[in-house]
Amino acid sequence: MNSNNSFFRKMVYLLILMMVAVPIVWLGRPSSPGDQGGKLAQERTEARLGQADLGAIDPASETIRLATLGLRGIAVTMLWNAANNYKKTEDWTAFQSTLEQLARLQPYFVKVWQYQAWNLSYNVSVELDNVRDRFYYVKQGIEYLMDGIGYNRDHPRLLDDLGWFTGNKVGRADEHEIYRKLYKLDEDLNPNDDPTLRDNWLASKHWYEQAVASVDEKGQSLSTMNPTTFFDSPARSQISYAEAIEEEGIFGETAKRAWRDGGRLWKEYGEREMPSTDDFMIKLVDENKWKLEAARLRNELDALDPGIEAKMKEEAQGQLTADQRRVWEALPADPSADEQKWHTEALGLMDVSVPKIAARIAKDKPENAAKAQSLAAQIEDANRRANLISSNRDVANYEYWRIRCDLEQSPESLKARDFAHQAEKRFAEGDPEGARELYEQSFVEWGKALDQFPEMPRDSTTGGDLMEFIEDYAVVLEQLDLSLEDEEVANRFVLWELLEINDQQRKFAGAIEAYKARKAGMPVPKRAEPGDAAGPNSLINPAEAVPQ
Amino acid sequence: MVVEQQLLPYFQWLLTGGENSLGALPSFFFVFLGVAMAALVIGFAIAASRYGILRGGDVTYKTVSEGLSELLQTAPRRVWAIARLAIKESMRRRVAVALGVFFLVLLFANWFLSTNHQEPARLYLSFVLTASTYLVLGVALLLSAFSLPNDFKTKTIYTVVTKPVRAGEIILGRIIGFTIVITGLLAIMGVGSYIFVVRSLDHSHTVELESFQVVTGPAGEDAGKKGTTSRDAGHRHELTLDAEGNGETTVENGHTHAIESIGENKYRVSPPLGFIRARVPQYGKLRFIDRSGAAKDTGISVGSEWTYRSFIDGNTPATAIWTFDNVSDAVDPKPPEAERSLPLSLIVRVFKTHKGVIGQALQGTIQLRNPESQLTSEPLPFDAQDQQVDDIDIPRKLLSQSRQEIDLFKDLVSKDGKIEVLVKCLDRGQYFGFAQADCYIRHPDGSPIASFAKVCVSIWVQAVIVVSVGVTISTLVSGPVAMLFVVGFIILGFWRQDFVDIATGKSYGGGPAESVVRIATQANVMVQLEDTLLNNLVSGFDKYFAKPIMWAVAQTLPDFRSFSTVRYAADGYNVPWDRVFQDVTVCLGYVIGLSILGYFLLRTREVAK
Repeated sequence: MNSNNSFFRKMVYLLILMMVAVPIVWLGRPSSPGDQGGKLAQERTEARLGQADLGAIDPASETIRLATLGLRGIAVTMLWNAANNYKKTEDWTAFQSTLEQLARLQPYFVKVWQYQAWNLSYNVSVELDNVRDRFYYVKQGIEYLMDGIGYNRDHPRLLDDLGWFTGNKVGRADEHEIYRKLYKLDEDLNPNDDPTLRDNWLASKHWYEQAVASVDEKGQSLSTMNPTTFFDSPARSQISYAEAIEEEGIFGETAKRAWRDGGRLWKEYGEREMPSTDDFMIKLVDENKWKLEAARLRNELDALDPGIEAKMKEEAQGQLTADQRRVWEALPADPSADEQKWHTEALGLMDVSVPKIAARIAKDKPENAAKAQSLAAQIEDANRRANLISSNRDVANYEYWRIRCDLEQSPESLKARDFAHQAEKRFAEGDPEGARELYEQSFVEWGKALDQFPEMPRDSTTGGDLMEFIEDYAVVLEQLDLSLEDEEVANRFVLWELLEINDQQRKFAGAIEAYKARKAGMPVPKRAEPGDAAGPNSLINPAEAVPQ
Repeated sequence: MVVEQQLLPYFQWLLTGGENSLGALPSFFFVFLGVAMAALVIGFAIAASRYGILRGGDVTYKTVSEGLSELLQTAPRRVWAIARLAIKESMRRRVAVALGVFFLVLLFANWFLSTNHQEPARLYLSFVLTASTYLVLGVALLLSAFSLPNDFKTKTIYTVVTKPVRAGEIILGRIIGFTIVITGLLAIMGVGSYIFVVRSLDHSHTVELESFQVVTGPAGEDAGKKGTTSRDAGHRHELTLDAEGNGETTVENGHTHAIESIGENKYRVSPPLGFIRARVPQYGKLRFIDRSGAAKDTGISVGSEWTYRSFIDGNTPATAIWTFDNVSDAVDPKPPEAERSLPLSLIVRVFKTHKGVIGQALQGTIQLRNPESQLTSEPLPFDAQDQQVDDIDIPRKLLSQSRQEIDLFKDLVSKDGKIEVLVKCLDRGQYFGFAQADCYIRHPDGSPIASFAKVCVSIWVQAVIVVSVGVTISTLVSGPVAMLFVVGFIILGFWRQDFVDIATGKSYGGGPAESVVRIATQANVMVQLEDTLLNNLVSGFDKYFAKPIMWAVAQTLPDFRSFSTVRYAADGYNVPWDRVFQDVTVCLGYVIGLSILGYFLLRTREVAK
């Protein structure tokens, strides 16, 4: 009896085990080539959560993590403390090796890669005085990010950071001239010696394109990144490349091609459909399209009851009290509280908005009510889209860069920049007279180029760039005992309008006044002597601030 | 190398100590006396509670007097017999497994280390020596903590105590036995580590003939060639060859290579030179002159959190002045007497308030001055190499400030062998930072192998202290408890300074009881606790009970961090003998003190009476 019971019990256990095994196998069966595996494996593949989906599986990292025997959190905390301490005590070798250990313990924690790469490239590099040593740590930060991308394949934020470090840290630092040369010569950053990646800005473009591709093709999320500033990066790097090669003296067809590529990428960026802060997608090139659409719809609405808007305004005006009317017509310079209140009330009454017009049409002509309401909604939507696109265009400074790419491709601009570069060289070689002539030729070409693009805002970055040339020109003139205030020089100079707009530090205030006076046929004002309160030497040189 | 605490000469350290510290020997006696008195009081209290005051006093007196006479009768032969037993026991407990673990660590070390680094030798040496330290300490812990408790558990202690052997000899014998085992392990690990480092860093290059550019002399003659080596081990060097085709490479990743011509367009590149060094510095005493010309002990702060260095401002009278003793032309006796120079090494920390000229180093000057006659040499300019060791050889023949020719060793060294080195920064608005160890007279390098061996001695010292503590405490408690005690001892030893800072109130956040309150109430260390009865009780407990106990415990704790000399080897400096002798003396103090304590603790066990 007992043995039967025991046998029966074992059979029941076996049955339960088999029953439990079925869902376990269904859920947990691992995937293998040609087999998608159980439900969990399929879900993992679909959500790209498998370790192999995240990036490289590093045996060293796995070993270290296993070796901590569940104390990874403590080990990580100790390493972070150690890294902070090494940074404090300027032990850069130990700092760097601690970061490597840290990364192996937290290889899939993207913030670690971001934070510590920044630490290396931006914080540690500036602690060293030698430019080569500085570049070494800039490069270490870049390589650290590359390692991070190895573990976190297609992570848009890491790729975007890599593009930023490669482009901006190398290409915009004060030491950028030397950094760019060292970058080109470096064999670790471009191990396959790919000619398209030798320049830091082109390499930056490459990484940005990878970041964009990770979103477009691999379905990665942008997370909290702003689409407007994320998607413009490849084009910006291309533009920066064009600027950089011109700064280094490469002009002609190469520079033109660089600007052309920049312009093309910028146009593609404008035509890209991007998520917006509203619930619809936007294209930066569509601003006019939506403005026109809004205008067309508005005409249609007006056609439902012609003259209704004017009529409503007249009625609203009639409802204003005497006080409201007075402040509505002319708000005093220093309004009292009451006047402020009346003004707000008057504006409210006088606001004849599209929904109000639609409502009035619906009231006056009930047969058009549905159409009026529909048109009002469409107008509101079109305006919202146009406004959103407009503000995003401002964020990217879209219009300026579009024009700039076209302007820089013009033969006059290319020539102007070439002349300015030659002038700079000529001056460095001790030929101020030759430099002066070249600068003046450059300004003439700039004048022609800017005339072709009247829509280019004169107070833009281009204006700032040109101001640098003008300042260099002023130094050359000073060497020749000349100045922009001299009539002869002023007559040769052609960029007076641009100078006036961009001279925010009023370095050329005297020259501008003299030019204006001469133009108006008035006597030229007396020239400010150096050392005057508003003279050119009024700014404090930091080196002068050291007490004697 | 960063030297935060000045190393005193051995006998000064032993007898009189530094400015704010007592000599090691008087300190030892005070602590010894304190521990002995405490032990006596506690022992008497226990005896009195068991047998009454008078009988308790008799028992205490008897124990102490017998103990002292037994300790004096300790026989080396019996101690050695116990030591051999301990060695055999260690072998039986497969201590060699530690070696297996060590070699396994070395096998996989290259996964985590890279030679493509600015200071690869530092990385490798730090790694192997730190790994050896932890492994040896672990082995010392396990061997010592479980040995006696196991004997008690398996009753094998009875077969020992039935022999004519005293309790003190059991303790000392075990300490010596385990120390011998540890020494053997450490010796094998040390040799293995050194070979690993040298082999890992070894590499060579070939000369890239296509990179050659001809260098011409002032008269247009062929003065040699410039070029680059091949890229190996993640780097390449630039090289300069003389007209005969011999030369050397630039420093990359902390080393150079010598190049020798062995035929037309054939060159031999040497293995890496200068990876592992043992610089022998002679440090001086640093003082400052500030920008107004006033004498100061320190320079100015540039706002760095780390106050190791202080700064002088450029293009002002601010000067860093080192005074060196015992200076003569015998510092480097190799060259002929007339050609001997003063080999100085200088580390400058540059701090800039403006960019200056990008790519151009800041300029400084060095002057030498006779502290007696005040005769000063003309300034010698140098380019500041930020955070690098810059080896500067000051020639024997110099010019004085009045442009008279002077002899460095005859005119600038005072009769008692002193010389002053004055360093200034020339660039306005820029700063040079210095610590005392940033300028030294460079004696000929010592043997890197000998220096490495001295680092191993410092590891050995730590392990012997752990063994002594482990054996001593295991006379009283079971194996796992002894192990926990020793782990606690090691942890407190590594963070001794923090422990002392809490005990002396230097750290924020109060003592242990206050910490518990702060954790429970989530009040950070900077928050003033409310004036409540509970908080006052807690603060009082810390002040009058916990902190004094912590302070007393801290007096017996070794500072494990200060024992470590890994930094010397990693930074390429010779470990001074003063340092080795000091460590070994401290170790001896612990062995003696703990052996005596262990003896009395073992006597409390029934089996050893």
